[in-house]
Amino acid sequence: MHLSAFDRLFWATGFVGQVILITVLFASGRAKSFPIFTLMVADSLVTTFGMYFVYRYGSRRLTYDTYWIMATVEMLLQLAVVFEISSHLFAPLGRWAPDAKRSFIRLVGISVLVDIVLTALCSPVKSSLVQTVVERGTFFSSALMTELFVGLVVLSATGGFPWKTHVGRIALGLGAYSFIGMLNDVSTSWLGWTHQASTIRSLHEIRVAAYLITLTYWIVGLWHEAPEPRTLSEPMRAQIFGLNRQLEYDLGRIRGWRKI
Amino acid sequence: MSNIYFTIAVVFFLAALGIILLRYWKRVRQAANSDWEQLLSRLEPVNRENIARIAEDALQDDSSAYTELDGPAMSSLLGGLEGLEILERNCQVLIDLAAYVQRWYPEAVVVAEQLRMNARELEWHVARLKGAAQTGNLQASFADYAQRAAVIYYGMTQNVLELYARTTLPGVTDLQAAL
Repeated sequence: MHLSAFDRLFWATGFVGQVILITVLFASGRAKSFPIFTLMVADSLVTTFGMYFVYRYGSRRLTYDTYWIMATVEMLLQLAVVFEISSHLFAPLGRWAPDAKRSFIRLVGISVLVDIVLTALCSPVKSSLVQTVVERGTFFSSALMTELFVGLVVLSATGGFPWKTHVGRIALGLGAYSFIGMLNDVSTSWLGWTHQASTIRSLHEIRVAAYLITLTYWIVGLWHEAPEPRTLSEPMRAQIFGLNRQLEYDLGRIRGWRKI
Repeated sequence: MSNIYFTIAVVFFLAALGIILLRYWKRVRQAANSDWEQLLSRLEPVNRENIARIAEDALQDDSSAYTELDGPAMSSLLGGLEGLEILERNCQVLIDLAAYVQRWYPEAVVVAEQLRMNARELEWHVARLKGAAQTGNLQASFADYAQRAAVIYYGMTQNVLELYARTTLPGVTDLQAAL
């Protein structure tokens, strides 16, 4: 299939950006803290590399099949990244806080239900079954990611979970890109593939540009170190642990209080 | 035609998500960027003596001591449902204060998490009280829930004050006055 000079430039820029991001993740040691996010970036890198050749030299059927396999894997990885972000946010003591766990399960359930309803309403001005499936699938994915991002912000604000520097940057990048993707899908669905080809192409370019901006944001944000924490002295550490033991004792008494 | 329904639904959906996101993101950023003085200024004054009276009454080992306070008396001491809502808002500030210590002293994460859990428990009690108020059972419910909420609040303020005193952060005197 034909690729314009602009397409090739976008493709090459995305590939270089993904290589830089992978390098940053390993060089800064953040690949160890965010293994699923690193895997998602690596998957995008392989997809970008592979899809270029499939799109250029492969048949239309091969391109469609490969695109869908890679898009499904990417969506599953994005959901896994949401879980990874949530684990950093809602497990300050290494295990999920009980209130956060319940809220998170509710959030995922409600998001999926709302998404199914919205996707069922989506009936693109289609020219083929393939395009309908593509539009509905990408809309479902970007809408779900947007909802989950907003949900995480709400849960962290109401539950009192502070955002750590790099977790916040990964989540913000993913959330903003998903939001733009959702706007893009709605516009594409409304215009139709065959009727406003040039407009849809412009929308696609906006989406690619948004992805490149997200990549740049991640590269810069994950390269910089988080603010340096201060260290507690030994006497202070002992006092704080003692204080916590006292608090647990008080709570035990309160919970055992017969009037409650 | 169905595209119009889809577009309208998505526009409303996106607008709702946008409003929710802006509201809560502002809250997240406000908590993250606040300094010590800004956090303190968010605290609303409460009658600390009344809170201490209810809480200490409940914590006494002698079970006969806390029977002196009935629902209406406790409601009056706390300032009614409105008084409990002030405690709820102050709990959110206490969480932010604990998060402030957590940000600069990650070792204090266990205490901060305990305080956060207590505040969520208090919010739950206030929610139950609101439900009781809506069904006209506030006076009957008040003694059970309000006393427990006061105990938790009192315990939290004591622990936060101790934490700040021990980590030698500025403003402990200001905090004691506000709480």
